[in-house]
Amino acid sequence: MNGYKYGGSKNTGSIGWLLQRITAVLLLLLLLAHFVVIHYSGTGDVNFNIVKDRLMHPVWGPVWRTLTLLLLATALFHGLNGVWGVLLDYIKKGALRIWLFSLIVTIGLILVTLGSITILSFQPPAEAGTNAEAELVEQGGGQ
Amino acid sequence: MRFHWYTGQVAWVLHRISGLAIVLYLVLHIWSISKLTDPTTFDAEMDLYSKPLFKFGEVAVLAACVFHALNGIRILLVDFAAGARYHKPLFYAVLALSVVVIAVGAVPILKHVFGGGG
Repeated sequence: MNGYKYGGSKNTGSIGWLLQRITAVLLLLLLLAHFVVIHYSGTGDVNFNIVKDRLMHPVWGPVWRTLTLLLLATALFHGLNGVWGVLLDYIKKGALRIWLFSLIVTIGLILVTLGSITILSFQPPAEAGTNAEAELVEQGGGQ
Repeated sequence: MRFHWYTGQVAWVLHRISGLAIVLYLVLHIWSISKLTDPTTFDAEMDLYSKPLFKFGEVAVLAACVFHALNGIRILLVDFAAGARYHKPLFYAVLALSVVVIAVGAVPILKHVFGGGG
């Protein structure tokens, strides 16, 4: 059974092939939503306040953050798995493949960490939040 | 014997090139946003991205994504449905639909360049 596989690897690549298609379907939905919500709704402008209103929303904020995290992971997997597929077409040396695979995984882990930190740690600075906080305190005090 | 481009070959090359271009954009996109943690730098960066050069770049990103997504649907149809029988007409449909979607999607982006949006 190893005849058609390079270097006698037990991995036929079928899992990666299937995952590429599963993430493709997810991306069709998530990326369309990403384009529509961020670039094609309202004026199409992107600025800090618009992002703040979306991500700090008490109900929808966590939903947007979750969807963005899902998009981040899915897009990175699909993209880097695609790059890996391209490399397999041109790189035939086993040792070089292992190095490149490690490099791709490392880049993926760095970017998914960087992106997750960006999404999860988004917080307007204290001075920008003062009004909203003051309002909350007023409301709380009035009850 | 002369070299001849076949439909499936063209689709494969375009899918590959657009995919690699999108990965490059994705890396820059994640890295660039990660630096924008306060309103001042965020809005300054967005002002930079609203310049014509970046708006045309945005259209290029849109074009790559739209083609890659539509041809991706074609690949799914070929792999999981009876798409292999119709892969050529499907590719022409992908190209035609891509042109339409890219053109429609480019209008609001380029309004910033040619319109009064600044």
